[in-house]
Amino acid sequence: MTERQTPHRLKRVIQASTKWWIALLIVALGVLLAVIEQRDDRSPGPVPTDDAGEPDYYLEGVTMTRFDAEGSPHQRLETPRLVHTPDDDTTRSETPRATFLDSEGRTWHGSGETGRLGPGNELLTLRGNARLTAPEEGWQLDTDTLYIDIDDSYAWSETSALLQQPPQRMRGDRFEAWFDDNRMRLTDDVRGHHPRQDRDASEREEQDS
Amino acid sequence: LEGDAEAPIEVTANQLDLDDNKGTAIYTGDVEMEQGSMKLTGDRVEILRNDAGEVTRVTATGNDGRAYIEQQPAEDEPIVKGWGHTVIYHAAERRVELYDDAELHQARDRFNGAFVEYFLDRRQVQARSEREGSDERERVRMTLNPEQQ
Repeated sequence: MTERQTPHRLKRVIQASTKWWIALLIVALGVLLAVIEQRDDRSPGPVPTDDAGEPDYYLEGVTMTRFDAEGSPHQRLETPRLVHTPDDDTTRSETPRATFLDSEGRTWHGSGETGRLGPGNELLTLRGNARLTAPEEGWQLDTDTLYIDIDDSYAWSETSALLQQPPQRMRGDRFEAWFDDNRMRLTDDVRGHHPRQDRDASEREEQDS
Repeated sequence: LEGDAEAPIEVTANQLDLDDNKGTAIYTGDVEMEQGSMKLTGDRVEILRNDAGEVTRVTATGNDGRAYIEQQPAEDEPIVKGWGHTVIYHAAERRVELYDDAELHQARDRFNGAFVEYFLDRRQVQARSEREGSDERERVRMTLNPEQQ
C-alpha cells in the first residue's frame, strides 16, 4: 500500500465508524425514551366495579369545590381518587377530606377512610375512622360512620361517638350536630369528663387575652 | 373532702346537648354527677362553662322529685345531704343553693325552707323563708340536735 493510499483509506475508515457511532447513538436515545415513557406510564388503575355498576367517570388527585348562591366557595372535597356511577348517581372517594362553611362562616372539616356522596350531591357518608372537627371552637368528633346532610347543615352518627374539646371529653352511642346553630347532641349511655382547667393555664390565658 | 375542688367533674346521663354559642352543656335523663366526694343527681343538669372552658356553675333540677346533692366535708365527718327542686352549685365559691322545698341534713341537724344555702368548705348553712324575687314564703324550720354527751 503506497503512502498516498494510506491517508485516503484511513479517511474512509473514520467516516464509516462515525456513521456507526451516530447510528448507535440514535438507537441508545430511542431505548432511553422508551424507558422514560415506560416509567412515566400513569395509566389509570383497574376500573372499579361493584354492585353500583360501571362508572361513567373517575378522577385522580381531585379537589372538588361547590359554590353557594352568591358564588362564593362554601364546600370542598379533596380526595386522591373518586369514581361516579350513574346507576345510583353516587360518587365514591378514597380518604376524602371535606370542608364546609356554616351559615355563620365557621369552618367544619370531615374525613374518613372512604366517602360516598349521593345520590345527588346532598348526603356525604364518611366511613372508617370518621372525624368531624370545628377548629375555631376546638371541637373534634370521632366515630366509625358519619353522615353529613350538606344542604341542611346537619350531621349525625349511629355509631359510638367521642366528642372532645380539650380538656373536656364526652361520649355517647349516637351523635348529632346542627352546624348553623353551633349545637351538638350525644344520646344513650352518655358520659362526660370535665376536668378543672389547670389553674396556671387559665391565669396565663387571662393575661394573654 | 380535701381535693374535691380540684377533682374533675364526671357525669353520666341519657343525653347531652351542647350549645357552643351559649357555652352550656345540658345533661338530661337519670343524670349523676360526681366531683370528688360530692355527688349530684337530677333529671336535668346544666353545666355552664367560662371562655376558658372551665365549669363555673352547675344547675340540677328534678322533674317530679327533687334534685339531690351530697358531700363529705372530711374523713371523720358524716355526709352532708341536700334536696331542692333546684340545686345550684357555684364551683369557684364552693357554694350550694337549694331552692323550693329545700332541705339540708348536716350531721344531726336539719334545715328546711324556701331557700337553703350551704358553703361546702366553711360548712356554714343559711336558710331563708323566701326566695329572692319570689313572694312565696315557706317557713324556715331548723332542728338542731345537741351533741350526745
